[in-house]
Amino acid sequence: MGIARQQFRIQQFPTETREYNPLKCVRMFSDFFDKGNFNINVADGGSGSTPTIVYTTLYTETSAHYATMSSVVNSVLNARADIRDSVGSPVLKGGQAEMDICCKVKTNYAAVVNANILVRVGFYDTSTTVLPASGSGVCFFINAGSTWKVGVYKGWTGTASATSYKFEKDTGIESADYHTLCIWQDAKATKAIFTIDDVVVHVQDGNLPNTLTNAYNAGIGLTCTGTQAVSTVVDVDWMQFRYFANRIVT
Amino acid sequence: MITSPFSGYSLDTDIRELDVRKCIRGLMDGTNIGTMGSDASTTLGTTTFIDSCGPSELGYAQLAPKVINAGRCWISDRQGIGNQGFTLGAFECDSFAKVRIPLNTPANGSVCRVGYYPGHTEHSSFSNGAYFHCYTAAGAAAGTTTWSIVLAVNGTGELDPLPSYVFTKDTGVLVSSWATLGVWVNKNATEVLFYINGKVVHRDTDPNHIVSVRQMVSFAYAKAVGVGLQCGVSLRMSAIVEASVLMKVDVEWCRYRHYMER
Repeated sequence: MGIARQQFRIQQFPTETREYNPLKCVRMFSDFFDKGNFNINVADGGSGSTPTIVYTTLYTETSAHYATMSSVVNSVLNARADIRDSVGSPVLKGGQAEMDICCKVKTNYAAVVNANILVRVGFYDTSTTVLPASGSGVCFFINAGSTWKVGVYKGWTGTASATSYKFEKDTGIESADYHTLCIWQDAKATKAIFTIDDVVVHVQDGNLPNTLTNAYNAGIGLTCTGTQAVSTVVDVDWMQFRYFANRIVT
Repeated sequence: MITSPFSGYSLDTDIRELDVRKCIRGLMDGTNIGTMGSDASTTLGTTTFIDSCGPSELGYAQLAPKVINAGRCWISDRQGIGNQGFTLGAFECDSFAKVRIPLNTPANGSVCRVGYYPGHTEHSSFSNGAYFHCYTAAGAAAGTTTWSIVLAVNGTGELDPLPSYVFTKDTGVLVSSWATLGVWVNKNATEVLFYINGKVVHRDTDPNHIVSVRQMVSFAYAKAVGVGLQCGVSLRMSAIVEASVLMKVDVEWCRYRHYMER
């Protein structure tokens, strides 16, 4: 399956039998009637208001049941809301198993400008000061403007070096409408493919964080980078994380 | 459907499990209970999810009962502490789990069961079921550190008068390391296969050795009398448990598939 995906077909992340076999895959999924298989975390950053996560039951022609993550006016630096893989601090590292994450998401960034917030989708580090300042991650993000950006960080310290790497680029795709963002990376963390609505927007060859760098979460996170004057709202229609571990090994 | 080949068949994805008309499927995996049931009361025991990451795992659950009389907890098809009415012999089914008991010497007076087992039965009893277990008796650490196979029918005489049958066999597989344990039973409960890590470690084809609706009369009777089975992983303590060495059980994933025609 991994090889097939590298042919840059339109559907990069098809349903496959491995995901139904616990010997071959750990699968987390939610259509966001509730948190489903994921864990949630909200924190106030030390003071101020705490961001929220709520679920809405609603059917439309293109979506149904979604989660809404919101920052709150007067939330302060590092206040956050995460829908993620781990119960506690991140433990996930690349380079151990093939994995992918897909998430259908939209934001109100364009309508309500907020320069003090960061939204990340994919594999992102919650244990350090928020990216892109430092840490490790392989994610989509928005920290200014209203379009989705690609970010790859490998032990990023703010200064490029042999052990500190950062790559960012703007896809130009607006976040105001629902888009399906997906990231796949191989078992050795040598290649990652970013897609939006099944179209490849970036291929990362090398310089991916691995077992030697920081752990990160898989999921979606909203993090305040300063005191909130407005509320940023992120709607998540569904999210799936697949960790294709070889669990036959005991 | 070809039944009971001596392969890892029961471990593979079966197209039926994706069709709700043909299968009820429960799965606990990683750090979430998913579609399995958990312990019914925190006064009896707890299920805690622990983050971990490696080439072969991503989180697991840990069962830990309280130090009280009859402390117990489980990850199973059972949601409450009321009697379970499940019996074998009505449809093909299997129950698999990847487990380990991190304490090399399990605590006295405790039993871990994996497969189809009675929910209430104490550590030293064999009432009904087809399961793996690891248990220790009262007093000194007289139990095992390996997984044993159990086939039991009417072991406590709670069913209509019927001949009792109990079979046990030590597999020699240590409980302290991760192992994938599974029990598959055919539709009529005339054949049962026990798997460890995809390999068949025991086969029994005598219908009198496998508890079923034949012995339990009906699902309703089994539930009323309290001899019904549950499937998954359970941990049961007795009143004599030693608080200092509580047995805990790690469960990386747990799945049951009941192939009924719905």
